[in-house]
Amino acid sequence: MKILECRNLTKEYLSGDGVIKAIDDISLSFEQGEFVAITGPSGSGKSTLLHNLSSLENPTGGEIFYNGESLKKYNDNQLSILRRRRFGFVFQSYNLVQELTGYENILLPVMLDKKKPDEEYINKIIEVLNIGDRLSHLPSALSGGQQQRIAIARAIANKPSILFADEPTGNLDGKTGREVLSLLKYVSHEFGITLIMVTHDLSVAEQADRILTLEDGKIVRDTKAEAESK
Amino acid sequence: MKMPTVNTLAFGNLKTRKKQYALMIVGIILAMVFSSGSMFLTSSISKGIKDITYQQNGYQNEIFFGMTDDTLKDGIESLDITDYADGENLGFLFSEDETAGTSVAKMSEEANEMYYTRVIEGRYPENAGEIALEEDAAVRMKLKAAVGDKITLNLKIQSGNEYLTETVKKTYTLTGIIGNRRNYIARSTVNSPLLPAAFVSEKETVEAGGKAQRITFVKYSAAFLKNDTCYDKLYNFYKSHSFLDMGAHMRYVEILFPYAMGTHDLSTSNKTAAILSVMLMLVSCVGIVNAFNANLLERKKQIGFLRALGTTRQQIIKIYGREALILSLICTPVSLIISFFGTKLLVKIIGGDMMFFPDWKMLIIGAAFSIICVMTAALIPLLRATKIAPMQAVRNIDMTRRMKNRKINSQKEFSMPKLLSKRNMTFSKGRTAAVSIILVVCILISGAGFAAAEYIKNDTFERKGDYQIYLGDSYFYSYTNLKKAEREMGVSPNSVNDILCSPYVRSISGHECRRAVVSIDRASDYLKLADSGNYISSSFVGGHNDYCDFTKENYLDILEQLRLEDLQNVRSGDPSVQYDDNYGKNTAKDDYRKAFNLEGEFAEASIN
Repeated sequence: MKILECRNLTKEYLSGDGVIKAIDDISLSFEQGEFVAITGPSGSGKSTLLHNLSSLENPTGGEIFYNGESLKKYNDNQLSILRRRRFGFVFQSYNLVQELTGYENILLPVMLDKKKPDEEYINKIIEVLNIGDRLSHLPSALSGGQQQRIAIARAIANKPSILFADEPTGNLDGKTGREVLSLLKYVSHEFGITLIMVTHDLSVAEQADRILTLEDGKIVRDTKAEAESK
Repeated sequence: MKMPTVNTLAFGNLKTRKKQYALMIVGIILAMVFSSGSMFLTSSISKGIKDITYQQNGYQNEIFFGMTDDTLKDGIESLDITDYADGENLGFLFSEDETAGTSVAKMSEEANEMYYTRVIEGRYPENAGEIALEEDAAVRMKLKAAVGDKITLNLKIQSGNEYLTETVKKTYTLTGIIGNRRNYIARSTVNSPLLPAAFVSEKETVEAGGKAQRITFVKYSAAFLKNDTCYDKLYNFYKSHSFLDMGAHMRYVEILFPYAMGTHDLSTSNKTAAILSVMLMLVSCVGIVNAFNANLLERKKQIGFLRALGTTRQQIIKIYGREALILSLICTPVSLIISFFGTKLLVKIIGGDMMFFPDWKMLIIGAAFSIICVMTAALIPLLRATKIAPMQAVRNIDMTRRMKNRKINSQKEFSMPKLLSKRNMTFSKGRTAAVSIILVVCILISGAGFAAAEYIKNDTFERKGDYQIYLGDSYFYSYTNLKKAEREMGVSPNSVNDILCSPYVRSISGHECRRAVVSIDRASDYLKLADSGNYISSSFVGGHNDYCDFTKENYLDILEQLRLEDLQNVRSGDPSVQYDDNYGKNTAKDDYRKAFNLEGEFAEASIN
């Protein structure tokens, strides 16, 4: 079942030297529960693709469909609500609210949605991510790996359909990076969440169900398409 | 563990950014002190002027003499009288000179309240045979009596609106001295002998054969006073009840109307203070806008990240607006306390007649106003914050965009300090301009403030002498009726010197504002006679000379007494005494000439 789809997606930036095409006419679809890694050299447009797919940025051309519905019709408020309820984000720099404790950070999307937290679900996340003893700490008192775990917990606290991860292991050492990656894989599998992850690390990308390789804003390799053609 | 709320975020921000917020709080407190302080100052000036006016004139809008029940009934209906109180004139008291005498009245408690009869020494008469006199009335009648002494005066017995022909000697015990009232009212009306300056107890009765004259103090409804037709109605009322003493009180009504309407024509100094307040508030708001702006700019990434998480624009306003609210709630009481005591101190320093009136309503309004000010000022940066893109959370696109927009040529020479300063200047171009503008505004406002302080001091509040004489301005001709150049001229230095050289003149102020207020230590008998003692007013200038008690001899004596001949000569050549063509040029001069049957050249400045 297609949960996210883009057709003829284009993103252009104006530069002093003219127009730069960060994404050049990309058409793609993502299945429910799929783990997709987007990889490619620096400046290939992989992060831009992720930001456009997750509605953080508006594309210059083409259309994005969530559950078959075009996001073009959505206004700013509706896009915010979509991001809050259906999408989760894990950033390279964690982006935790420094003023809130670990637990409060996890519940932030729930608070923004004015919902009561599903305590059983939240406790399960905390248990899976093994952050129970760090919940009352402020982010400044946590290590990089611990902060990223809190960020993952926060990203899935609202039971999203899709988890977008932009270089989630980029700021972590090798061992912690691997731990975080396996946790990401585990939670996406455990809770049936589609995981779309940008990474330039091939060893990280290889762990995904599907690898998309970008160069100059175009998809040059899609392992799923290759498998289907075989 | 608890679920986070908007307050958790707001308080969390305040806690972790203590240093930044401490500075911001100081800035907001300063801004609030400016705005609320100027509010207190304006209200003090306004209330002070009102209070002084009421003290001087009483709370009534009009005083009728000789009203009957039917007339009063008619007045209540046709003039919309909302409140009234009665007193009775029992006769006219004088010692040697009849023109220096005063009506003697017995007043009801309500009438005393409305007339603002204030005992400044001794007590109010309680028994028959006791009397209280207004301070100036005692001086005017040359009574060398103290409270408790027996005084013997001549009494013309009241007989309705007339007096009996025979005069009797009457002895009273002087029980108290009353604060001046009659003279102030007389200043704004004409010198009516009917206005009582002597008061007896309610037990006192009119002498045999006489009949008391009813004095009715009335207040009109606000709606009546606001209506332009009120003067016509009053005129018709007087006309239809011709036995009422008309001329004396029409002007009095005119003077008090603006107060009653609540749109009291604020004195120039009051207006200046009000304008200053508004300007200070605006500058304060600019300061608060800047402080919040800087604060939110520093947190672009956080806001962008919250937007990425799905925070709507309204929620961004709510989250960061809560911070502004908390800040204003912290700053408001502190700034109100500072501005309260600061204004009190300022008023004390300015001194004069200016008084600080701690108005609790104003405190509440000030608090609400301060909070609204902060919230409104914070709204502008908040609205800007809502426009921060979610992408701000991921990368600093702001810097990239600026780098793209501004072509910085740094290749020619690579000097790090130069390069950094150049880039900083380029990036902060807008902000640098804003800071410069704020500085200029502050300097201008400070200048205006100092000028206004001097102006206020000069114009209104300098009353050091026992008596005052207004020179160079007609009471009935406002500043606006004079040409601008003439207004700005003020009283010439020569005139100031002349005035200062005059006998009894203690000081002179307000001359820079065109109207000279001369304070003198004592008034001559002529002055007292001339206009009930306290003022040489302009009430007889400008077409109202028919009500004047002046005689030509009085006037010439005053000139001699004050050696005003020189002043006359100086002023007669001074263009500042010329009135606007559109408002009856030389009206005052003509009127005066007509009134006293004078021939030849005449300088009206000297008679104001």
